[in-house]
Amino acid sequence: MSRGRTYVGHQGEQGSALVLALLFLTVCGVTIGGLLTFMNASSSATTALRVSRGSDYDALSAMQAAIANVRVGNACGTGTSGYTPSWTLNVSTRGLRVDCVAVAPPIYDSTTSPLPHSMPSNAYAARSTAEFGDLVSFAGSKRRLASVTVTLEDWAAHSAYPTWPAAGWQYPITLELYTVDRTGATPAPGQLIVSNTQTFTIPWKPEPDPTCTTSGYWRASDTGLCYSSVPANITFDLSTLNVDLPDEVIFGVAFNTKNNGTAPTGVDGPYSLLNIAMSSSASVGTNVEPDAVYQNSTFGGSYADNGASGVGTFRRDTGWSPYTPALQVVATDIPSALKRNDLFSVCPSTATAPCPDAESLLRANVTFYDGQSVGKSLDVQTWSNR
Amino acid sequence: MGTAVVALLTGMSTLLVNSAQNRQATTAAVVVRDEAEAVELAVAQPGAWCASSYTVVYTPPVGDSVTSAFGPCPANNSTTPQFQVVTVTATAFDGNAETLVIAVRKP
Repeated sequence: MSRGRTYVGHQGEQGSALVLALLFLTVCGVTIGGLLTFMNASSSATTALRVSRGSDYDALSAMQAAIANVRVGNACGTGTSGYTPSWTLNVSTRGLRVDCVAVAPPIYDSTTSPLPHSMPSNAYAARSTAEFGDLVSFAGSKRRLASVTVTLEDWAAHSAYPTWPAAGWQYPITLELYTVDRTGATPAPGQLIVSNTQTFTIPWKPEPDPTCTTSGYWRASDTGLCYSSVPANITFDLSTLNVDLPDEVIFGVAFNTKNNGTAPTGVDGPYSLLNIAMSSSASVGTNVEPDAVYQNSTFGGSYADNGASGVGTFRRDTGWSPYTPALQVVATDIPSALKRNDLFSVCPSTATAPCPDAESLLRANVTFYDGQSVGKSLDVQTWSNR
Repeated sequence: MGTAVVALLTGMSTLLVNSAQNRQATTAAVVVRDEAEAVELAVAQPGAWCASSYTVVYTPPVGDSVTSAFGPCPANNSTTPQFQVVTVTATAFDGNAETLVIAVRKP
């Protein structure tokens, strides 16, 4: 029995050792397997990072080369007239193209940047207005129209119009630019220079906060204050129209509402709560008549003269000081694809200080042919002879 | 049991070798990018454009080496784009090489 017990005991120790060995191997195997998996993920991440960094350098290098090309008079436009690098890229499987666009400061600007939580505004639907604008005078000498930005003020929350897209609602809005007819006692809209309609996505006002004192207001998380509405910029890209502006224009912003506009919708919609935002001054250019605006309303009460001079026409109205619609107009002298002499022709070689007309910028944007973008953009302010 | 031990040893060996390679590759990638930044800085110095040589201020880690091969300087006239293509190559001490191609232009 004693031998038998000893034998049994010996067998048990061997079994325990085997179990421990297997356990050890299992733990080691799992650990090494985990480390191998981690290593594999790490290697993949390193490879991805190398590709990403390679693309970053490709983008930056291509932009530098594009700028070098522009500076010697070669054209760099957009699309097929963009710049394509001639050397072998770090990531040769990701071809790229540099699109060059001119950037110029505004010749008129009454917008606010950054946009505040809310701005004063003028209602369209509530005031039976079809079009609203002002007479503005431009600064500088650039007159080739590039873009016009208008700040709108949206009072509509998505919960009020749940059948419209939650991400924002799209709506066609028209910008009109008129020459200024000064043949009468007061300025009036003259010849129509531009009438351009584009569809924009308007962001919804944040949902109302029931704790706000005023019903329907929303509360901003950063200020903790309540606001009636939310401003949004819309930009009309007008660079392809090749329009040269006069030194002053009367502009109007128009859109249809339920009962007003060129084609009233006849039904309620978020456009019923869409206003044009108002500023109190222009930081660039001049609001020629601070007390006057131009509007087309079918409601006589919308005018200072209660409509005595007529309703339903786009005409001058007074009593608006200090408010003027928030508008930004950008123009350039560059006619088409960018060339050195268009961009950088004004700074004398002897200049030691920034040139007075140092406003022409080249913005190079990179687009990869695989459709991806790394968000690369490079602005260069320079001159041909510097 | 023996097979399991061999598998474990193989796994550990693979782990060590690949980790080292990954580390070297990562280091080489960092070195090559650091050198590229230094090249861009050197080219941007006043009067440096297309000089006989650029003063590139960068020292790679001990054991690593890095070289920058500049393409030919463009003809100095008003019609030739003034940019150069530079091939930067970093080599880690284990021979792992990393290459980066950049273009630098006249400031």
